[in-house]
Amino acid sequence: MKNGVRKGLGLGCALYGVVDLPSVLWRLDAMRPEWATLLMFSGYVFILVVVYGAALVAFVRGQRPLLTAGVLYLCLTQFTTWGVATTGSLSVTPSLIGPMLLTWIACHTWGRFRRHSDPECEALSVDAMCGVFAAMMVIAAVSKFQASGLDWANGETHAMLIFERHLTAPGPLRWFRNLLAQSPSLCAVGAGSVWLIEALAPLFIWKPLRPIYAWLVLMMFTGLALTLGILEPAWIVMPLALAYPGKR
Amino acid sequence: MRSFSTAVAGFSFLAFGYASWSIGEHFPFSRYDMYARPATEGAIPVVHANGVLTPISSLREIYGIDPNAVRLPDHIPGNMGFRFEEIQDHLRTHRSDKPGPVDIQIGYTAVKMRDGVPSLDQSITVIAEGSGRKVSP
Repeated sequence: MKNGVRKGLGLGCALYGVVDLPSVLWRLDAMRPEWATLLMFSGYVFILVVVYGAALVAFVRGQRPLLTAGVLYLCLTQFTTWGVATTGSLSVTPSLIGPMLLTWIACHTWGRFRRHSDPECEALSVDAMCGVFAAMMVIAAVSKFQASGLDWANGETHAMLIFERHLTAPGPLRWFRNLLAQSPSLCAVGAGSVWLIEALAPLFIWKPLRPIYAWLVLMMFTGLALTLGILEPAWIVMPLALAYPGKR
Repeated sequence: MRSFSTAVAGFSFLAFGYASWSIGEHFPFSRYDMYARPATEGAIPVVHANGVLTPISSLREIYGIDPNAVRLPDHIPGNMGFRFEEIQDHLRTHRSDKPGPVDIQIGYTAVKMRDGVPSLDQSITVIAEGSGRKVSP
């Protein structure tokens, strides 16, 4: 039974719950409907968080995975709706996990409807999720071009971004970022590499090339973490889990 | 079997790609345009404790600072909005109703390009002041 993908999805949901969700919950008072008292609304939120946690544990353990995936997705939809309303933007983790979870649910529902076995459903969902992941990366590359044109890879802009983030970095990282920021041409090469890796995402469609592309993504996000402090573990784990889904 | 795998992945690539690009920012779809428009000038948040640059994580029992006031003014460009949100969250979780022994200033400072390389403007524009207690981060 392939379960690496389920664990990857579970990790993404857990990261969202621990990293992003608290900052959404702090702002929830603004989302409270007029007819609900603070106690009522807090109770609803508390129950939702408990249900989310319980569904997450059950999903990763493989206990009624289709049902628990559905519950997880519904909770995630509610949390992200609040998050967008209160912060004005969608967090990076649910923008990955949401479509992945939905694809997983759709494939398993379709597979059960067609009376496929669980491993067949899992294989189908892995292939479909690979296509979705590739699409996300290509869209990200196109968005950069549409928003900023070729100037997106401007070395001075990226040198400034790295410099901004060196001030709050711990010792060695602070030194490294400061050094890198003094070389805009190197920063332009880094930005160009990110763009290229995103544009190469259709490689992820072909099964034999998936491990290669997953490692490229790992390198890209490791670089982004070291230079810009962009920590997105789910975006590293998910392609690796899809490229190495485990043995049947 | 392998061609079926490629066909499924290719179909979901096209279907999700088209839907996501067309629908835009409606969960679970997105145009994934995070970091697509980096500001070409930078204003970065700065926290001072008794006049010394200090990470916000080392401040506790913070008094007299409204978390909602800690944000970059609309007319100031910058890429560090997320950092202001982190500071706001820290202020919300470490509030106090009594003044503390350490003077706290929260503001921003500018990153300017000089001769093609970035450098830090030493002046700080204060947006909120209060007091609190300092601990080892």
